[in-house]
Amino acid sequence: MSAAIQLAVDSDLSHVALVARAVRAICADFLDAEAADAVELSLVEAINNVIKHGYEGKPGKDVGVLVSLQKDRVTIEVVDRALPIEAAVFERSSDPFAFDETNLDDVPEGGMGLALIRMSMDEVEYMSRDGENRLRMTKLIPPRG
Amino acid sequence: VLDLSGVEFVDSSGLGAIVSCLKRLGPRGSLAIAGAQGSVQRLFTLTRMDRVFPLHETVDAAVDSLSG
Repeated sequence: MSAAIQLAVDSDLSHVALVARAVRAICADFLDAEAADAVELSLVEAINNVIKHGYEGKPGKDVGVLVSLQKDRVTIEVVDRALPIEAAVFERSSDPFAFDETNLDDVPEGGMGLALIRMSMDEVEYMSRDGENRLRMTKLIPPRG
Repeated sequence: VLDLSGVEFVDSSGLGAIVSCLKRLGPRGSLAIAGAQGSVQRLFTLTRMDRVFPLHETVDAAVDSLSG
């Protein structure tokens, strides 16, 4: 079975939890609880980034979410027409969680979203073309056995 | 002590806010987490924030850890 569904949400931080819960419910038959948690968290982080950084906190802009369900994978795309993530920021390999816990100044208060998405999902791609940005996040479904 | 037993979801903004609280307490302050479950507990371990905030099953255990 494969299916796809598209959602659209206004760039308002108060709507993010709702759309993430909706997507979690859409994926419920395909993912176990831990994988659904990973998808929900990644989607929240991705949309938060679009609203806070891309649209600079402005409401009234469009954020699209495309959910595609396949036998072996769930793919979530977040589509916006905001300022794109710079390649250097997207590719940054430094780990925000490699902090020194004995030094409070070293513990991050932000800049964790993309790293969390990478840790939670199996594949993460970013495309920006003609003013449209697309973050594609894939969670693989292990074969039953 | 921060009781998260009724919290089902925390994202990195929430985690950052908890870190900010700890920083505002200053060098002599400490903050212990109680009752984190499921995805909330996993977020703390995934981000290694469990090294900064000791996780306790109950509020009583968290209080004990800070008064010890």
